[in-house]
Amino acid sequence: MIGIVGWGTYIPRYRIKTTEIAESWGDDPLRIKDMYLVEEKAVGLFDEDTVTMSVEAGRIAIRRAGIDASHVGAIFVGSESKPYAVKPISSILIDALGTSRNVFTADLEFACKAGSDSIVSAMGLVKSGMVKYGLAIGTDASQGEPGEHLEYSVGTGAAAYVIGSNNVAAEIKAVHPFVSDTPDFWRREGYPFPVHGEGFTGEPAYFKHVITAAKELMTELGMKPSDFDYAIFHQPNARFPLRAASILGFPLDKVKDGIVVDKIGNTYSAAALMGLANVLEKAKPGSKILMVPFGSGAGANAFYIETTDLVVEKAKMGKTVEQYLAEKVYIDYSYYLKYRKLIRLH
Amino acid sequence: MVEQNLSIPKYWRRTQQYYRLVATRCAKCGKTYFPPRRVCDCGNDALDPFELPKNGSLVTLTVLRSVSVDFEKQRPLLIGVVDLGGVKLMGQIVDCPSPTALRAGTPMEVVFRRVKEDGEHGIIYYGYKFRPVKGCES
Repeated sequence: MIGIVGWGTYIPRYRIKTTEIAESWGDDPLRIKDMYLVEEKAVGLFDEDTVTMSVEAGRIAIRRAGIDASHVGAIFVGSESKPYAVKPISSILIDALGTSRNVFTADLEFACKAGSDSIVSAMGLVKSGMVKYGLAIGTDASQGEPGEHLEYSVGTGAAAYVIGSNNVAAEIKAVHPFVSDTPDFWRREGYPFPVHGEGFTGEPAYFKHVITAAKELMTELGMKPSDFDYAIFHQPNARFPLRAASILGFPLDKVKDGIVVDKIGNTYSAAALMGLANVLEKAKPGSKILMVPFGSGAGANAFYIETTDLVVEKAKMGKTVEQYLAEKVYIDYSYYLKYRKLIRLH
Repeated sequence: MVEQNLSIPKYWRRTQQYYRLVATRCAKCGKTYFPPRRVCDCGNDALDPFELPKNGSLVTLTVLRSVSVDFEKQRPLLIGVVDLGGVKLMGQIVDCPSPTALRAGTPMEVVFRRVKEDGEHGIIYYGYKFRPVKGCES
């Protein structure tokens, strides 16, 4: 049995309401809220980045796994907002988490999908017997140009998963990928903000890949939406996962616990993994979960996950998403610009 | 060539203590050292490394508004002394815009943060800071 042995998340403490951003730029605050269904988003302080958040989430994941950090044999980090263009996050984690030096490490990039690709990579090494445990992380502190609509949803956070075959809290029973060359969203080297390929956002990218991956996985397994207790989708805003659920035939009850974007914004590589953490912290043993992370460019991985008897006990062993959501300090737009270093400082 | 002002070897040699608060304890008399030392005051050179606890309590703090150039965009700077299992450590306090809410004895936790960066091209230094466990409401 290969699956999730431990998990941990990190959400910065500061929040800004989307209505505050809309008022700063002269947009209609209610229209913006209705368009994205994002109430507020998490804002990292100037000293928080994808390295610091990976460390915090990784420490909780290892504690929940109940293992010594020296037993981690692989670390993969999925992110599109690395502090260094060249210098890995994963090697900093070796010393920050106190693992051994004999660890397979790499930083992965596939827009918002790379966190889930980290899980798949760790699964492969565990399944082949090359490592006992792999640490897979999705994290982002991405960029939204001030005054552009992306700014309403781009959030900050990290989610970490220890993958192994002992003391599994949730078995990953199957993963199914669906990928194509779709120019929906990108950021060129050296340019600070990403760009949407307008005609490709939405239907040809997110919905095509998420729906196809989910359907193909269910066909492969001979399952249907009513067989699942929870469904989690990538969440660039709250409208997209709700619509994906509706297209596939999942009722709201099965989707709501997997949506956190309305409270913290789109955490990109961590987004679906954050929803999964929230679900694991509420799920009963034997719960069947469909999770479909998506990344622009574009691709989706559909996961079939089933919780074990250990999930309830492990949920109590670390800080929960709900606890993070409750710990918040609101800031106004001027502090947001300062904290995210969006004012050019010399 | 990109100018580098900070000493990378000096920082790199201390990453264990900056990243994970690795201290040493004398195997003979039990005295604890942070920063870690290799020889105890009692003369013993067998010291065991261990990590300081990541939770503690605030001893005292000060608010700095005149700060060095590396931190001038982070004003005001909160510097506190936090007791971690008997070891009193000085460091920056973050995630607390209302320092009046903090008192001696306030529960604090260690967080992993960026501490300094060498301009736009140089190395980023990571290390420990502190924040109040329960937020910062007065």
